[in-house]
Amino acid sequence: MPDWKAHVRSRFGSHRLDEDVLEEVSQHAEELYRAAQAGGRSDDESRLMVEVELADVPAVLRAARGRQRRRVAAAPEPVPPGPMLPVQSFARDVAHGARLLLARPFFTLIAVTTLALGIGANTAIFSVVHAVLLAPLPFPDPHRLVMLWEADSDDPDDFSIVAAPNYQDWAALATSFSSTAIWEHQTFNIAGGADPEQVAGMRVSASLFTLLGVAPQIGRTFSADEDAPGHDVVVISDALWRVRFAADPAVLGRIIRLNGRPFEIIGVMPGSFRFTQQRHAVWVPIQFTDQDAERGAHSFFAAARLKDGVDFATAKSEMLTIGRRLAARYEANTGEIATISRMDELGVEHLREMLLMLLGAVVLVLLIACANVANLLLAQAAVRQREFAIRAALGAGRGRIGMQLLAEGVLLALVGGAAGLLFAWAATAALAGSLPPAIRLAPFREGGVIPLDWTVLAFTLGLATLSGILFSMAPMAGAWRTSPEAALRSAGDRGGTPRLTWLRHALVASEVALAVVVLAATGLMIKSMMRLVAVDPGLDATNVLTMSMALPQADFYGEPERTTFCETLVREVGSLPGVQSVGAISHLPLSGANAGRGFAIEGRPEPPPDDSASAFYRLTCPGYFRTLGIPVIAGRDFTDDDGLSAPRVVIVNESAVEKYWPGENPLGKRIKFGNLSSDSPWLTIVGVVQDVRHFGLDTDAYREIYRPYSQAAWPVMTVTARTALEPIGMASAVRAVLRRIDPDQPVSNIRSMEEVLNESLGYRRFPMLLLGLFSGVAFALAAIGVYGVVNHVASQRQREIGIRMALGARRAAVVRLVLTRSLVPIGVGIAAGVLGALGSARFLEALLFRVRPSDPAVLGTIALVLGSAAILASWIPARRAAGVDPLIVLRQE
Amino acid sequence: MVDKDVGRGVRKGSAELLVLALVEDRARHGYEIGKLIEERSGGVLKFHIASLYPMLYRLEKRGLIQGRWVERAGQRRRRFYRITTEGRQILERQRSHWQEFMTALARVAGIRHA
Repeated sequence: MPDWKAHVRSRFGSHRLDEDVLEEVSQHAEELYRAAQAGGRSDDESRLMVEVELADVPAVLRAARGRQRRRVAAAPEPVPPGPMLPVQSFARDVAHGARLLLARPFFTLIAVTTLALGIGANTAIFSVVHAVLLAPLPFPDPHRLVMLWEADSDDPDDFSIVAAPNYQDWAALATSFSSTAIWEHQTFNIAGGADPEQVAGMRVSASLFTLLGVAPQIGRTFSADEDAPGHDVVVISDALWRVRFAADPAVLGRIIRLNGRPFEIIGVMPGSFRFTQQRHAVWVPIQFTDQDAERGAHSFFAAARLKDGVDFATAKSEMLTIGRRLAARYEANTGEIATISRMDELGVEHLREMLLMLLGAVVLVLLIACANVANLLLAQAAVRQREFAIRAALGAGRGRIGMQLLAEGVLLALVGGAAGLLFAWAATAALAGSLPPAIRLAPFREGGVIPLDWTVLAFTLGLATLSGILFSMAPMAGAWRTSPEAALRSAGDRGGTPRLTWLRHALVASEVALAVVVLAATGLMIKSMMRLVAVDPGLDATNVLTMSMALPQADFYGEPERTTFCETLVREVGSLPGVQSVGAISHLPLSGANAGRGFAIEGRPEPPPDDSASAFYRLTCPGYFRTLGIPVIAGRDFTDDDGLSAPRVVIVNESAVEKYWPGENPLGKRIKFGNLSSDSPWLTIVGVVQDVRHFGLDTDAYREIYRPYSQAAWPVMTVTARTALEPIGMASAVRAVLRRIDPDQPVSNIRSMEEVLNESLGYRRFPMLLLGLFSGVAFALAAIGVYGVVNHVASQRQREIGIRMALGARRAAVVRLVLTRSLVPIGVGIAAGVLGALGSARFLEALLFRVRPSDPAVLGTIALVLGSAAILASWIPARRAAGVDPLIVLRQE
Repeated sequence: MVDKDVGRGVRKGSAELLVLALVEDRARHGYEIGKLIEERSGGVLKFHIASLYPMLYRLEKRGLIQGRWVERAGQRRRRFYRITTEGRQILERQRSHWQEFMTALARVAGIRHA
């Protein structure tokens, strides 16, 4: 070993000697020499290496001047490492992440926009799901509230509304309930004054308000003795109180005329009270009539509150037992049982599937967005590999670097989530206007209002955090897979080990697969809609104006007091210029209104009670069938001569003929409502009309019996007028004529028949439009994702491409080379997507119409469209990669 | 080529950070510090005696590290450097500046490669 101390001393030259520096530097030289020798170098080589190190030793000496000298005898005290608290280090990571986001505004904008779309769409749909399905009923202890139903013993899920005597038996026998209540929906005309009005209301038992646990804001609700006839009292809604009584606090005791009868106002419900809908404006006592006393008269809703300690299943089985006992005791109850359902499911059961399907679709869109952001971050991570490597070299473990990436990702996701909230806010405002009636009018919910409340905010926060964690995994995997040495050495390489390319392709495959699932769902919905609108509704909806008119009388359903209503209507409205024909009907097709009656057929034996003949029941004015374009197949339409003094007549539809008079001529046959022994009059069939799909294009026509209004009344009729031009333009003229016919009766629901038809499709159109929107986003994100990855991978392979081209490869061959690589993940994605679409089909089945979830045409088209788009998205960067000058690429290396 | 450029940048701007970080947890002597930098950077970063010791002395003069001669039985005395409270503060600040620097580097690199 050379004497390094002497050697270093000689290198100090004329500089003033510092013994400490001499000692330190010569020790260093010795260690270097020893290490070089240990590494197998020759003595000369080792000396040379140390000599190189010792160049400019005087600089060391200069730097040492003025340094405080200390000598200690003891070993160095252990220095506490002083680690940072986790919170501190997380805060530092977040701050660092924020600086990174600000430093890369373009990347941040793209990532935040992508996430905002995904998270915002989820928030918007979740807020609908929350408002409709998840939000608790606005009553105390809502989970104890149940609905009581009659049900078919063969099909216990086929609920039906309740007959009053059955309800009374349940209330008396059941021990599971602390209270029960019953009500019937009714329409009331509030007459008098300048503006007659038709409002929705209910006949309710006094127990309803205590059952719900709500109190009026002014006055009282009904007492138990008011359930008996002789008490004309009414509780009104906050809205009616404000509009009709200018929120007068002295409204109690005032008289309001409902359907022509005076009622005393005894209470005003609070503005928040929705039972069952916001539009319900008046509640009157139930006061059962003789008609209600029949066990066959099913027209009531009933509810109960479970006793403390009684669970749903116990109550349900008790009701089942009671229902069976009643079925054994009463003939009218044959084949019927009793059951219960949760009150918060009322009116929204059928929405569950649709909303959950939409939520599922929008989660897929978010996953695509996450995959896109993961791809962006992967590209960033490749550029930042050096940063991670140096951090690792300085002692940062995998955990630290992982935490940093996680903090950055979650921060990005939260910014995206905040932007998504804005997007959701705008989207829900826009959605509120286009909600289908089933959602808008869902019971107990604030119709058409989709609140972005704390639950929704918490959902968004959770979703954003989860997304951040999810897409941070890609760059984490990237940072962990690379060793610091490799990263520092591979400076010329643009990052990305083969492993990362594999990850990128996996992301592309998942994006394409997810997009196929969403697009396939949309394709199936669109095909369903096309099949649906091609269905013949059985009527001609073009240029038909419709409006409802109240026609109350003391005996709602008895002989008409307005014997000449139809005659006057047809004459007065029919004489308006531009009106081609006029009619009226009690239950307009596709409007949701309906009524049914059982009847007996002359000359046939009395059937068992649960097998008697039945049909839907309609009242019409002459000219209705012509106006709606419903052909009279046999016999005749009603005329003005079919009055009270003429023989009672009916018209039946094809389905009724098929069921009760197959192969016979029904004309001239007679029926009567009720059973053969009832005292209702015999009615002669004078005509047969074509079937109409009354409940919707997707529902088969049912048996119908029509009577002339001039022989049997109905409290509300819908006037129909076929016009030469656009029907709504005629609305005010027709309305003016109706006001002239009866100034006291309100006119409402002015719509064209086409609007009625369109609204009946709303239940399917709403999810179809939303899915269409999601598909657009999914398609765009997937295409951008494919483009980004192929572009990145192609640019990584530029050197290889350059060499190939320098060696004579043609451009087309290079394009093919790049394309072939991306075809594999695209193909895998499409195959997985088609499998996914088949697997998720059951969520869609209920929303499809005459289309199988595995429809090969739809799936094939989607696969073709997405595949082509993905190939196009790959072709653009492939072509660009092939367009580079090989010399330039090689020179860069 | 890029390798060396980056290395120079690192040496220029962040040598102090490297030293402070290495003596953060425990006291180390000069040779050990130089060796660790070289090892942990995979050989990319390397300090010669003529650059390592002047830096150590400068850091010591600024009160960021403190050197002490330590004598153990049967061994030659060695000078160990450890971080001071002030040095610890500077290290934290440097770390954060460093992160900004890397951001800028990434940004520039990103634009160049786009």
